[in-house]
Amino acid sequence: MLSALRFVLKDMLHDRSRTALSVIGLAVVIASYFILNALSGALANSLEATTVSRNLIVIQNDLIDPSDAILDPQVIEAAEALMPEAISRISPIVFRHTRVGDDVVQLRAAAQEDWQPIHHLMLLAGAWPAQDREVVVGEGLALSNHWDVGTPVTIFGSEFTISGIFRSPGIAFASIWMPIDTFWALFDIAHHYQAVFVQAAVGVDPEVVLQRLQDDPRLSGRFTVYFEDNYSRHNIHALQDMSSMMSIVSWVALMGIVFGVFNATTLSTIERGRELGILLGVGFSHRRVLGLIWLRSALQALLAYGVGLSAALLYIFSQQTASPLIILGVPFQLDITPFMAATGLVWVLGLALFGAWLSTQRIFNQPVVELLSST
Amino acid sequence: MLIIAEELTKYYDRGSEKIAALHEVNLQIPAGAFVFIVGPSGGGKSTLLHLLGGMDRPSAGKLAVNGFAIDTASDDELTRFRRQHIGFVFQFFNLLSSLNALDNVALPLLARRERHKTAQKQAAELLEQVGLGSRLRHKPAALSGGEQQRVAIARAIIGKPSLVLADEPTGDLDAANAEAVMQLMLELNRSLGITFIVATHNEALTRFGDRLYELQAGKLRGR
Repeated sequence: MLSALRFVLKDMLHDRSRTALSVIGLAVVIASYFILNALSGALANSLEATTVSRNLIVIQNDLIDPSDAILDPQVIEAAEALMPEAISRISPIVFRHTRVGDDVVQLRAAAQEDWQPIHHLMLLAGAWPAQDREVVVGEGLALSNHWDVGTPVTIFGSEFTISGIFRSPGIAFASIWMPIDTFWALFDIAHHYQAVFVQAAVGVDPEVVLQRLQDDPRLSGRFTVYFEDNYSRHNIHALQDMSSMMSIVSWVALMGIVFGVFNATTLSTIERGRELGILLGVGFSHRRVLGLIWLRSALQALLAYGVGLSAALLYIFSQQTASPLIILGVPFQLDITPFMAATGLVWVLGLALFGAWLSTQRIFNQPVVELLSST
Repeated sequence: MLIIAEELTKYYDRGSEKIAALHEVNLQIPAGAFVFIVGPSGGGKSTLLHLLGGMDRPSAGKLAVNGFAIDTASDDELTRFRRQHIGFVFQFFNLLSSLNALDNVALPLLARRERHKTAQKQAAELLEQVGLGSRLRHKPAALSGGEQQRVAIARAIIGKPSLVLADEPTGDLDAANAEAVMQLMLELNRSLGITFIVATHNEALTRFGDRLYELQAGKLRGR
């Protein structure tokens, strides 16, 4: 085994540039495979975490810009009339789309006691706003802008401080939340709401609640009731499409590995017909020659795997550090899991050995003298 | 007899045509002989050597070397036969460019699963014997044609074969190197008792041999 290893290493080192080119060519495909796989995995994980909401939103219809909506107090009365048997909680909100830094964000405000039970905000760092001029920001927005707890932000010309960073379940827009009084003061508007979130009671079909609300004469065709999911469904579909596409592309990259490894091995074997003929001529058996080719292919594939995996990890690390991947305000944690790495290794090694075996079948069917006369 | 060939025939397919490279060759060569086969290029010399060395199979006829029937042997049996009985010297040396002289000479011993150290020691001794003691670590590209052929001869005899087949071993060498290579083979034939069969179109070299055959258009005749 040691003699074989020595022999193969000498052979690989003798043709360094060729070996390096083969390794780099393969490593590029392997790195692409890992990066695409990581991306696909991140999207799949994110979609898995998406929860089905029991929330409904009631908002004025026939508006070009939803920010212009005004909630009629009668709508709240209609919802309250269904409490508690059909509706467990209601939460009127106000919102604006505004530019903060380089991002257009949705600024939201609601009674602070509703943030967790109805809007499902989960604090990741810092604290909920306790003072005037404090806000909490979504984790995607914080990551993409390198904001942290205590970072000052300018919203609508006023200075605020980030008191906390939250995560909201499912797929949401990049958003900043503030107490409702702060919101009214900031935009200098009368104390009114724009929409109301309605939470269907446990055990009640939200579809029934939606219908009952929609049929209430107090809404009188001026307001429409939506599932909260409707609001984010487009985003979820977009991400599902991207996830499917990533899956396909990572399979294409895997096929790239298949052909890359196979071609590298086959070409190397076919080009060495004369050398294989010499080995057979001096008495090496077909099995031993195949063993040498296997060893060479495996070493080359392992090198390419090491380089490809390292490059993918480096890319992911630098990408996460410099500019984290955030799609529609949701951060995606790219990761190459040990399972992914192990699967990749099995694929790469298996294909290298298979490619070597297949390419030698044609070679071994030729008489030694024909191999010796090949260039 | 070391070699017995009866009605040995080899055809090659060229499209729909069959070309007879060897036609019903009969040959008997005793052990320890130094034999020359001469003839024009394309006359069948190389084909005969390849058949004798178990690198190709005859189309018809019988061929036995050292009692081993080449015409009926399997691939594995031919490999074992070459490993144990045959040394080959080619016109263009056929050395592995990635290995130095020492490693090239040691190859047949590694094929026999000899220990690396033992193989290297024997290879060094042989290279010393053929006058390349100072060139052990040189790769083929750094050796002259004559030196490369001496490396090839050392590789051919390291496994102590009963038969060495040399196909135009001086074809790529100048006159002085050709003479030196022939002298070396003759010495090895005399000192080790190895049978040598040398194919050449250079009749001037045949004075070194004790038997001479001529192959023309696939037909062999003694001279």
